[in-house]
Amino acid sequence: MSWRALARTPRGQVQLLAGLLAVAALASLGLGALRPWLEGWVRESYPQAREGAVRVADAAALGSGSVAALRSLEAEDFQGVYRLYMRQDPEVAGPADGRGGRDLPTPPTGPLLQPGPLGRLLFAAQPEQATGLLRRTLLAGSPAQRARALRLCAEVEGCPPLLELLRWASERAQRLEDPQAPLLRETRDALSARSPR
Amino acid sequence: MSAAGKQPEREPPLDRLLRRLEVQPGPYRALLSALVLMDLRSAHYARATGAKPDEALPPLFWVAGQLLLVSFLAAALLLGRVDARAFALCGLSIAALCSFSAVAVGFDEVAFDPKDRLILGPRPLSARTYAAARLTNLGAYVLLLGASLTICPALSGAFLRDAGPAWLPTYLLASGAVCLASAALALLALLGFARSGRRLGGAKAALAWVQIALFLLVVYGGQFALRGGAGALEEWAASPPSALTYTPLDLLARTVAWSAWEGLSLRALGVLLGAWGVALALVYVALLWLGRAYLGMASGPLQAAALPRPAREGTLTSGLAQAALGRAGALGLWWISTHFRRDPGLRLRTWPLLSLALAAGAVGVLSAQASDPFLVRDASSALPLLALNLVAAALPQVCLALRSGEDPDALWLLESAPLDAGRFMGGLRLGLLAWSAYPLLLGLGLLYAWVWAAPLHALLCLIPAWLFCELSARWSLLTVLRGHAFRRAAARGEALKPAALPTALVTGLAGGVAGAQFWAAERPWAYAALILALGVALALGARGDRRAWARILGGAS
Repeated sequence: MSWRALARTPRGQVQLLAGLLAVAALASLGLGALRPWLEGWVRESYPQAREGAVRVADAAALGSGSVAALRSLEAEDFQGVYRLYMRQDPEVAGPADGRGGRDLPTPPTGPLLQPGPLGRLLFAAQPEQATGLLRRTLLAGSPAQRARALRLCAEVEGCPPLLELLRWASERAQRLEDPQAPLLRETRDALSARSPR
Repeated sequence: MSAAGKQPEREPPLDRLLRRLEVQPGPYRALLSALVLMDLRSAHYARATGAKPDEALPPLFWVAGQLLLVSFLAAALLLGRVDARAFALCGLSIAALCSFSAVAVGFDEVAFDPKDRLILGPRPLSARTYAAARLTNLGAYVLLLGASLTICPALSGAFLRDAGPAWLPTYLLASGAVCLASAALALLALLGFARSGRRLGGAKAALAWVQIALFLLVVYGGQFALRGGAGALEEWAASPPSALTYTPLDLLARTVAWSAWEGLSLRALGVLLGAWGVALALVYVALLWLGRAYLGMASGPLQAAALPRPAREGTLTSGLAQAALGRAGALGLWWISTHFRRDPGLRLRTWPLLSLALAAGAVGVLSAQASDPFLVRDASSALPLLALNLVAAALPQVCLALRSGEDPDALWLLESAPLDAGRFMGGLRLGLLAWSAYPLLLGLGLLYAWVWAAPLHALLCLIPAWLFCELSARWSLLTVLRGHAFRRAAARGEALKPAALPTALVTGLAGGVAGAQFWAAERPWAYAALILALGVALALGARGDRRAWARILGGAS
């Protein structure tokens, strides 16, 4: 009996359906095995910042940045300063601005932002928004992006929302068996030690 | 060996069991085989999947394939991005939605069809045998749906970073309960509708597209998540809205996740057993209702309820319509309006074609690119004009969809009627536009009037678009429909060839008209000339239109 004739009988059609389910089961196992490869695609992109953000970031990089200047920024420009900092590491920036996402990352422009002082300014100026940006990177960023974002916390003191976020992220990383769990724990412990009780 | 020494043939165990349940084994098998074939060739699914009657792979194969594909793509999208709770929540939500819609759509084939009484009534078939065959068939159908919706998330989810060994059994238990409960709810809802005598055609046709809609959502949503790089999906999955906490699906998802993290606890086992208890209770009530419906078939109230109601008198053939369009025109208007009102398939074939214009309008407004062309002279004011004129671009495809209908055999009535073809098609054109293009044109016009806070400017933009729509409708009916509407049986996957060239041409012209409007917006004389030119073209077209229809359909012109 040809497969076509078999497929037109109820028994053949039931066999077809069973075969489909078996193939789907194999494909699902294959998909699960591809998890590490799929994780490689998880990364944030950092579009170019606006003029106002570049001006404030340049001032911060040259040591003349102020909390007041950062506080006066709109949400979009505040994000822009964060994005500028992230873009200054070519490994982190990625092909964010490339046409079709295929171009090589652009070399860093402007004076380099130092993570310690910039983090202090960001979390002092708008703690909730800065914590939100860090949270998003911790959830949707690549390992390199998360590591660079965590360097912003190196000199921050206090900032309860940040401490809360690091506690939560540290627990989550531990549960997910994330290789960066120790880095998160260290950052959390250091911030906790610097924070007044 | 003598005949007396021959052992009596042993009855198979299944047959013995069936006899003990007072079910006739032979008729049971025959009926079950027929029901399975009906499942496989379900007409509703044939419509949704585009499978043709002579194809070896049945529509149900594609349905299972679609369910598998949706759950596979969703798993591929979420794997590596979310934790076990969000993964389980998405998988269970898809399972709930798809099993509800699949049972609702295949209700007649798998659960209860009052027309069975006409076919099986004269046969020596006990009510118990009928019920047993129906329920076996229903069970197999729900099992297939459940397996299709569970396999991918259960197996691929076992590879999640935070999935421990308890993931697989707990997810299987949770998904089984969800599929059963959703199927039972669908049965109860449909039986309730059947009892009340309401028509279900529209709802079932819409539900048949749920899988397609989910597929598109996963594909486009996935692209958005992967390309956007904004982390919205990951953020949502890490902290789902608190309102979800109170839903049974999230409770089950949290139970599965906690079991995956901490191992199977007594509490988790209790939640899962509770879910199964609820699902089985729903199944019990559904089976009770189904059993009553099967028994009630003998007395016939359900059959009477399932018969279509007599058509109501058309309200559009009123004196006003007759005075404006003439008797033949009013008939054309009533005819197409009745088809649109009665046939959900026609609405599903035509309305989505207008989505391009709707999307252009929505994108323009949402992305702040919908400026008033009479005040702002940059690219942001071109999109509203394009959106308005793109409404006409859908009309060739809409006319192609008008070729087929639910009752093509009724056409002989029209063919033999002494109709004024030109007037009849004029009424039909008006109905076509009223059921497709006009509501969208009007909606976009009102939207722009509100966004621009300038109703007069919106009206001025609307007039050329309306004239262009009229021209496009006339031309599309002549070139694409070219005969009576609804002259073929509702087709699946009809070739788009007849409408390809007209669509390309009208779309190109839509861009041209929008460009001309944009250019003329700052020159009042040019804008007036554009409206005049379109009006003259319409008047000239109207004269040739009547003669052409008289030639195509016959009758007076």
